[in-house]
Amino acid sequence: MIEVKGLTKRYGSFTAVDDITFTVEKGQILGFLGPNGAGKTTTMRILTCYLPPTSGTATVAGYDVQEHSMDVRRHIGYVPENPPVYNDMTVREYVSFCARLKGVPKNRQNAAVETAMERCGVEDRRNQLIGTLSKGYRQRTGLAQALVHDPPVLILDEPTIGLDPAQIIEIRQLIRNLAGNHTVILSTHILPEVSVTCQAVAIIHEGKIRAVDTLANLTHENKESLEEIFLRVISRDVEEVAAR
Amino acid sequence: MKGMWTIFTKELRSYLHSPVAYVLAFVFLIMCGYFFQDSMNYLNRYSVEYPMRVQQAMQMRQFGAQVPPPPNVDLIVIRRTYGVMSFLLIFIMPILTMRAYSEEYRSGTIELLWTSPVSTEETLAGKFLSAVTLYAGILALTLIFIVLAYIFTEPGARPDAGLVVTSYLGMLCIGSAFISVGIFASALTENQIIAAVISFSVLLFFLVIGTAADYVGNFAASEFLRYLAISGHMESFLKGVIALRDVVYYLTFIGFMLFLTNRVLESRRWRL
Repeated sequence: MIEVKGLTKRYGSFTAVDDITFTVEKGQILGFLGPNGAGKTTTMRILTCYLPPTSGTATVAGYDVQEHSMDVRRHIGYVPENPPVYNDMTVREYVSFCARLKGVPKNRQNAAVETAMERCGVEDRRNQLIGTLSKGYRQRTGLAQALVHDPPVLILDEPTIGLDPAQIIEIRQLIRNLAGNHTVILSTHILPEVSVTCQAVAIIHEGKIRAVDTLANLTHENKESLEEIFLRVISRDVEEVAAR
Repeated sequence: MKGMWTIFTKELRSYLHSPVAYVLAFVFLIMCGYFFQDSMNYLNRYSVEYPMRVQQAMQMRQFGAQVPPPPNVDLIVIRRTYGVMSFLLIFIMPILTMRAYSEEYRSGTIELLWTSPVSTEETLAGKFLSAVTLYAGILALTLIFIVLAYIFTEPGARPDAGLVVTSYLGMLCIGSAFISVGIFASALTENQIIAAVISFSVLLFFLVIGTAADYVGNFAASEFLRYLAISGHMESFLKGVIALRDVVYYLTFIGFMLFLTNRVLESRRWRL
């Protein structure tokens, strides 16, 4: 469903994403794991057509992100790290604006908006201004925006950041329920999140993919927990730098 | 087209839900109202004194005195009020348009717009047209001046309908041109204040080059500068003329500014 080949992104002389390659199968949830500043957000922004790659290709739902940008956008839902919400709109106005923006046909708009709000648990705040919502509700409104056109691919950048434990469990449950019908990429630096929600893991560090496999394979082969693998992959680099 | 309409309604809605538009409309209308009543007072004084002045001129005719022109609401009220009004727009428009893109950059909602199946051209057109619509709405409120001028003048000396139409057409043209500059400035930065200052400076520049033209020795160069100046093209509208050269000027100006804005947006996207 998502195919990334040799993707590179440079900002001037700084290489944020360095020749990464991975694929995500249909219906799978891929956890994108890495320390802060590893290149997770940049990769996601390229996949959502927000940024053009410096080189390499990425195909989402069979469309190339550069050649068929508009088709890709129709097939993805994206929640950036800071939910892109308008503080002067009510939840309902916002979600319905997003439905129109994403080209949901007029006769299905109302139903789509109601379903998205219900799925994300914001229907009890439908008439509240987004500016007055708590962080958790803002996050969920952002998620409703990504789900409103029922896209086959969902890209979530740190979806549980700033939520309380109960909300985290709810959101994880929601994401798990998406598996099967939706392909999901979820970035995080919280390790338990991956073991709880994802089937596959990609560990990215300093712009390079260090490990990519299904969660079962990865932990089974090495007979290690995800924490150990993660620390080993990250620290190998630290030692190398120290040795130099 | 659909994307443009979505953005258009969203922008118009957010203009109408924020106090900025109301405060600006209030200030603009108060200032215009002041200049309008000032012109009306002058017209009134002139009309009252007119018979006396004519008499004086008749007595002094052998010394070469000219009969003064009769009081004319078109010249004294309409042309003067709308001339000042178009100047006032220089202060209003930068503030009205400064948030167009800056706010989207700052709040991160630009990520939503640019990852949705809507092109940058559609977004830009939606934003431009919504600002123009809001401005047209504010402008429509100034029609009260025409109504008042109509009521307080005598039959036969009332405002000329044709002049009123061309004046409003001119106001719409010059206002849209100012909006295109404001949106361009807003696309440059995520700081609204800086956006407002940039568009104010650009507008002032386009105003000043008209006067600068007088100091340029070369005839062709000074004519060129005069043609570039934004306010000079308003004059024919205020004389009741729709001159093709002025209409073309405004359309080219707006088109060029929107083209530049679109380039800025695209380059911003590539550099991010």
